[in-house]
Amino acid sequence: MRRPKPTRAPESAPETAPFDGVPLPPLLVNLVESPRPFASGGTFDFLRLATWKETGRPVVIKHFKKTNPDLEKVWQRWKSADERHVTRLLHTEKERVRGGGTQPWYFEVTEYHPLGSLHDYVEKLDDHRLAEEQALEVLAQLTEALNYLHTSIAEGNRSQNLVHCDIKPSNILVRGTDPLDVVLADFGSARLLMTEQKVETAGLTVPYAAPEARWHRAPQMDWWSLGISMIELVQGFHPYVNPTNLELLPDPVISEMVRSSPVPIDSEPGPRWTNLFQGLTAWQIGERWSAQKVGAWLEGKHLDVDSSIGPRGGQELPFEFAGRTVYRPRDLAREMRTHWSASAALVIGSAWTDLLRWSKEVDPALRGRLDAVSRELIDKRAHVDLIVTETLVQLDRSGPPYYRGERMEPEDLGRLAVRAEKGDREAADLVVALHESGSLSALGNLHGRLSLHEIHVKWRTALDVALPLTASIPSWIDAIDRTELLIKTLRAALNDEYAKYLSDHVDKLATERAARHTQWFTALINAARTGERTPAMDALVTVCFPLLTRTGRESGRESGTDQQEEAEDDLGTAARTAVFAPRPAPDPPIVKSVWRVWPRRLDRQVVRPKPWTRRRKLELVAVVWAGTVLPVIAASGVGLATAPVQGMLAGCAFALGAGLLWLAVNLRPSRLRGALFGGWLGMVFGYAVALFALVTVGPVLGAAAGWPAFWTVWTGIVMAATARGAAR
Amino acid sequence: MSEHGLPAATAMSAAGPGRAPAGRANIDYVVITAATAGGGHRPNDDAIGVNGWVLTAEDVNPLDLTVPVVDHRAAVVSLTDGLAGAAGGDVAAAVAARRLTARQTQRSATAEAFREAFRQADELVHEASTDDLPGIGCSAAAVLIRADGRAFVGNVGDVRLYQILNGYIGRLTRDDRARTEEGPSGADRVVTRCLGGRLRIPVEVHFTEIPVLPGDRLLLCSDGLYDTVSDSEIEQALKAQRPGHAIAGLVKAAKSRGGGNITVVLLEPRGRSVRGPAPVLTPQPSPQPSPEPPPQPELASAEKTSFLKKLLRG
Repeated sequence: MRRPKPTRAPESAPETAPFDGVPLPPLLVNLVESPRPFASGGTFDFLRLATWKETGRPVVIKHFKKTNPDLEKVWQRWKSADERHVTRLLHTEKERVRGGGTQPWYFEVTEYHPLGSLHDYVEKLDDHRLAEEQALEVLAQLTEALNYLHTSIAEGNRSQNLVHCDIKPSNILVRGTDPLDVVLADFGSARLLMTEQKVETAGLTVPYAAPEARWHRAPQMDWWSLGISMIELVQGFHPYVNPTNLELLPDPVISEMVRSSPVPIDSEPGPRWTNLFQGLTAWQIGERWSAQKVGAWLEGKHLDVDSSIGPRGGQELPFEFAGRTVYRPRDLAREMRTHWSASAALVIGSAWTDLLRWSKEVDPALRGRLDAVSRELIDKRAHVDLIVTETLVQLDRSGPPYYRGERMEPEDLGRLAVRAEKGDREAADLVVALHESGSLSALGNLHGRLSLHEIHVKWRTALDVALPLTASIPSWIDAIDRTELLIKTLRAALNDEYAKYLSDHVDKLATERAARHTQWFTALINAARTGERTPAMDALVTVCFPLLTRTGRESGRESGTDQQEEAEDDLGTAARTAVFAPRPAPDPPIVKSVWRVWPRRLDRQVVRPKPWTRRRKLELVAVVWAGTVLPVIAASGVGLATAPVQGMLAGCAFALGAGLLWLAVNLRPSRLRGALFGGWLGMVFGYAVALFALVTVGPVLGAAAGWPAFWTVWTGIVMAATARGAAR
Repeated sequence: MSEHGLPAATAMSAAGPGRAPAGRANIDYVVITAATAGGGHRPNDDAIGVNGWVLTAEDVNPLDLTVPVVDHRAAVVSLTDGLAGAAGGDVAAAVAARRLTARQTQRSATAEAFREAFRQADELVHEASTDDLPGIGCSAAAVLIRADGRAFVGNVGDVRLYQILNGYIGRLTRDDRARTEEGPSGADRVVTRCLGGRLRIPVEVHFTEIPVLPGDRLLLCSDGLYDTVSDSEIEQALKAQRPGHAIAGLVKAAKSRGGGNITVVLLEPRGRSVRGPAPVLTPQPSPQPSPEPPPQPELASAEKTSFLKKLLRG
């Protein structure tokens, strides 16, 4: 397939460049003649063409500022190298600097190859790639050259051998084309083998640099570069190009791709070439092909390749988080503490994979701990905040306790709870999230932060008592403010004085009129004040108190009245049960006395606190008038007509009737209320019937028989009506 | 060897959070809410694929769909985005969306079938190239949700899939793209992998398997959104608003900031779930026994239950 012409990397040198006027050093001046501008290369190197006086052949003079610490030693090895593999180095010289102001210029003179580089040669071909035979020839020669550099140049002394470090088509010179004869050139980035080098990237050509080149320079990186070069020469374009326009991708993009994924290889050259390319670009240094395996491949063998990605060694590896690069788990923890949302994204998203891989390299034990986080929290879908907190703990156990960017020492927690109680919405949300996620317990695993775990246990224990009771709040009442309950219980868990304040506050609430007249709330208070006092119950009572006024409002509703009353009973029962459950239940009574049952039943009846409307006030006046004035008038009349005892009895009957009526009106529907109403009606109608008995019996048998008849009939009718009312 | 380039043994545990199902989940259906806006002077080259259907539009109101999920047929949803700057991006997006969500992918609903869908979509997009439309290509992200609560996520290029958990947003896909130079606009970025394109390189899918539970949220979006709207803004919008309003607002915000070809698809699996055991933290370092918790108010719970029963009975 005809390929579009690829755009080349910046290493492509312009054919001409301005001569910058740097004078040749004194020794070199005597060795060459007619120097003239030729081309410019990298940032600091410049090329001139000249004639070597000794042979009369053209040479290239290159001058540059030194960036390679091994330069002098590299020159020494290069000069003695076999000309079959490398271009010939004829002369080197360092400029003498007077005054020590600037860096000296370095000069090197090499033989000139008019055919140029392999890059130039391929550019001139029709499809910008080598024919298969040429590619095999180039591969064989370069393999031999690299093997020579890496193993043979100093005759057995490995520390004297060279790593080129910048293999690419533009650094491979073409000495002849029939057959194709190539040699290595430009050792400006070369290093001696086994030399400890500080990690630096100067001199690297990124599109050809091996993944380990950022921290390590070894012979294997030359084989990677050879692999990339061969891919480019065989398939006709560099592997790291934009698929839409075949332009070379930017260096940072290539670095990232090299670090994270296999080299993209076009399928067109065929599986045999793919085998070679994959072998030379194996990510793992130890698995990467070198001279021996390439030789076997050239003989026609198909070899296994390792296609794993990611370092296996113990190098200090970078980890990217929230736009920053960190190298140690502790540094990552520091960044995570201040970038909570990014931390959440890390544990939710695919970046967790990167973290696991990174942790394995920097600390295998850390990898084990993070695997536990995966297994116990992530896989079980724990709250994201808890996962982040636990990850922070595993990354840095000595670090400070942080949650959602806030420091969480006990005193910080106290301040947070105070802020929340004062109405700070953000602080309140934080308290709620802290409870829902359970992160406080995880923070207690930090060194020296056991107190946080203890606070968590106290808080959670208190809420275990209080929260189930809040679930019994019926739907017709506005939902209880659970946030306030969380805040108060947290404060109580943090501070004993606050717990005592709550206790005192509950005692004070118990004296409030509304509290005394609301049965379920009274039950709650009694529960809170009975036995061992718990801050949770005190907090619950405090939080529930505002509901009393809402209860009053709700009572005006027609609908839901029955539900309300039943719910009140339920809540009271729940509150009692929660507190009394730990105690052993008393033995059941053998005989259930009516007098032991009724007071309790009465105790459960609710006198609903109604608002004092004008109508209610009039009702009260009427009841008081009927209960006092009418009995007095009736008693006076009866007493004057008969006897004082009769008058007193009649007055008591009137007063009792008025009292029963008032009580019946204010009670909720029940048997007791029915009985009271029935009794009152019995009193009213019974009075008429009893009066009839009196006027019938009295004139015949006399007053001594008439009055007992009257009271007997009246009492009987009242009792019968009471029983009927209770039954209905 | 996994798609992440990790040895197979570590691929599962390293594939992202929630790799093993937590408890059991039965996904009965997936509610899909989508919104899109075109690029103005050129056609919208984003395409939404839903179970073999391909949806493309310019500026329209948000769309709600309910897709059933049964044992023998998973729900597959994809978002494809034609390569910017090249003609035929919309064609590539539609071809890929159709194949990614095709019936055979739904029916087999295996990881291998899901990967194969990407490979075949790549082939089809290559084949769709003509002399008039040479080297057309698209980015793609797709999610396959099974009735048993397992989901497969795959992507090539720069379409993203986010997961929203506890109000936080996390990205499950990996971008195959990079910035070529400093600049805020998407034009400064290049896609480094795609379906189709000028090169016939074997497609490399970023693949992840996750459990989904009823109530989870997944968000597919094209670069038109996340180039102009930050992750935290997306997080806040989804937290504060109903799905339709949220994604319509996101698209509107992206468009007002100069974005083009913006497509957002929100997926909400629904059904029944049975949570697994509660998460267990690492052993606590407490040297002393923790305070004895008070007895649980069992009877209170019983009372609550009876009260609820009463209410239900009316």
